[in-house]
Amino acid sequence: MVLVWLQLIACMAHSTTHLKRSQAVEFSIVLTAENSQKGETLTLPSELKNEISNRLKSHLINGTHLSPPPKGFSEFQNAEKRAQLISNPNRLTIDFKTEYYSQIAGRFRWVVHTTILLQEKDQLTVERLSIPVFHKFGHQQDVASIKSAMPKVLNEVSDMVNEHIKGSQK
Amino acid sequence: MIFALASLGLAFANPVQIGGYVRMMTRPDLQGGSGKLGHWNLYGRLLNESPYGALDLHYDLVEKSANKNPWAVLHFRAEGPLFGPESVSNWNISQVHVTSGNLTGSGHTWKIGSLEEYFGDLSLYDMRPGQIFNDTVGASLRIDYPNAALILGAGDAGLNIRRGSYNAIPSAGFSFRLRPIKSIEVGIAGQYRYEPGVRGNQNAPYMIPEINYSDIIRGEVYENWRKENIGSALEFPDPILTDAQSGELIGYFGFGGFGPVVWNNTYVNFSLAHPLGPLTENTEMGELTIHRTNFTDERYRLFVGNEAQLRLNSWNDATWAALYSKSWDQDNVISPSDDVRTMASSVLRIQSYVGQHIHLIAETSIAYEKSDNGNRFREHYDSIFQNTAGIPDDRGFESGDTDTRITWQGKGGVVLNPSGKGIFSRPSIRFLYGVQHSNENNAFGNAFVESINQYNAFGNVEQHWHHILSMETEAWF
Repeated sequence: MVLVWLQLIACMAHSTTHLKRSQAVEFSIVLTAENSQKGETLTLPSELKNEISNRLKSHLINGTHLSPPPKGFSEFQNAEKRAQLISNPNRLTIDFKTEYYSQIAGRFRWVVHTTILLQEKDQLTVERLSIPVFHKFGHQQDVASIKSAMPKVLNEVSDMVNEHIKGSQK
Repeated sequence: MIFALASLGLAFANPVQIGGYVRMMTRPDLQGGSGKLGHWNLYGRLLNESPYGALDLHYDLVEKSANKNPWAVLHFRAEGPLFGPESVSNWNISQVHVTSGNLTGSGHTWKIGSLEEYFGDLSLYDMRPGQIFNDTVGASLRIDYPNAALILGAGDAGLNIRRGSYNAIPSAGFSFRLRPIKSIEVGIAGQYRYEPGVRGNQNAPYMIPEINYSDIIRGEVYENWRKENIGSALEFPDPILTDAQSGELIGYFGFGGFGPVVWNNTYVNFSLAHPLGPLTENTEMGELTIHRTNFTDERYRLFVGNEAQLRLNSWNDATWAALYSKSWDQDNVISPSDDVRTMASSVLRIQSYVGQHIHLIAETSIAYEKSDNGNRFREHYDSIFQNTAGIPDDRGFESGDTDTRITWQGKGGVVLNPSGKGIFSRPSIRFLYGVQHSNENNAFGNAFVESINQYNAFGNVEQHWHHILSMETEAWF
């Protein structure tokens, strides 16, 4: 009984609100990733793309992944300049830059520097996160780090969408 | 303070990041113990470790940018015990190094400073048999290939091994990890240290002729030499310059990613410990330095350890670990010590997910420790303390009435994990109960008076079961 009660409290404390738009809207999504130390582009697995799409769906947003990214996308590091290359005015770009930090107390510490841009018409929000993740095994590297960072990234995306929905209702 | 700095670490994208580790707990022990269920983490680290912290500063000296430009990072780490009278004084700077990439080629990383590297660890034991360079300050080059990584390094281990009595100990080693297919990984690593004798340097390795091992252990080198050399007390032999060497060879095999096996690590480590520095004895001539390089240069150890992380189903994870270790000292055939023993242990942990953030944990362990040079453990409060072949002997080298310690532990409780499911998901807040049985009396850190002298005013107690409650937390940040 105590455990059930604790679980309820925990769920309430950790649930992220997913506000729904009044009507469905189409967004273009571009995900990019690279290892910042080696300067190598990373290929993201489809499950990560699906996680983003599903999260947007919970806000009544239909996301379409642009893969490969629009021409010239990789020539810019600036998120706003990149976003301008997407023809759809409703855009979500997420750029992951992974960095191996160090071994600490038996764990492999990585950092996923994430830049999220959400734009629709006149609303533009850009958030930058540095998310530390910890792996038990040495073979867990770039993509495993991004997977570990995804819950925080998804929550941030939801928070940004929520802000836009609230903003459009004013 | 650590948590405050940790939150700063999240806020600073660049150039400063703070990382680290902390484990804190309180375990009021009503059986006279010092707060740990058993002596050490051979019985599983859970409930057998004390508060500890590490704080790591990462500073981007040259920021990473696109186009594979060179970058450089400074790491500065301090770590040590938390709480207690020695917690502050025992903190030390454990690592300082500058790492730089893309200088000599893509995928090349140079490291200057502390070179510590390891393949991974045995988490349930908090042991790292796949570790090299934990004592070396120098330079290393890491070359990353698509499915492999090679590290070559060289430096000086004297700063860490000899500390205040520094003498140069050149050290070199390597580590190679290969992942031929996704579900298999193999590795090999090694390190060699050589400490040359340098004439005139009092910190160099020396040996003293005409003395024997038993006198060193008893602290009676000068006393016995004088008895055998009446009339020439001032002619105690001069130390003879020698050299010293040590090293380890490590094998690693990992596999997983199929069935219930998330990953399985196996390590084999064969090592020769570095000879010890001198001891001192107080004599009527003043303090006498007893060099013992030749008495501590044959301490070998074979260690084999395995840990398997298993996903039983969506509600239960398990981790099983086992180890075997055999240590032998070809100089010491008379006295029990950590360098002459055989150990075997197994630990099983199961974590069940009542919900996303509320988990139940259960762990059990069984461990066998045998002293290969005679009795070392006391089974009863009034048993023989020092003996020779089972006969009381206050000049005997053995301590205790048995050469074998067998320890069983059971632990269980509730885990609150803010970051969700995962047997190694952290941070964790844990409320635990643990029980231990050992054939050794009072087999845990304690402040009991062990003497059976009639003037022992505190008395003694016989207890083989030990119970403990714990509230604790552990986090990497």
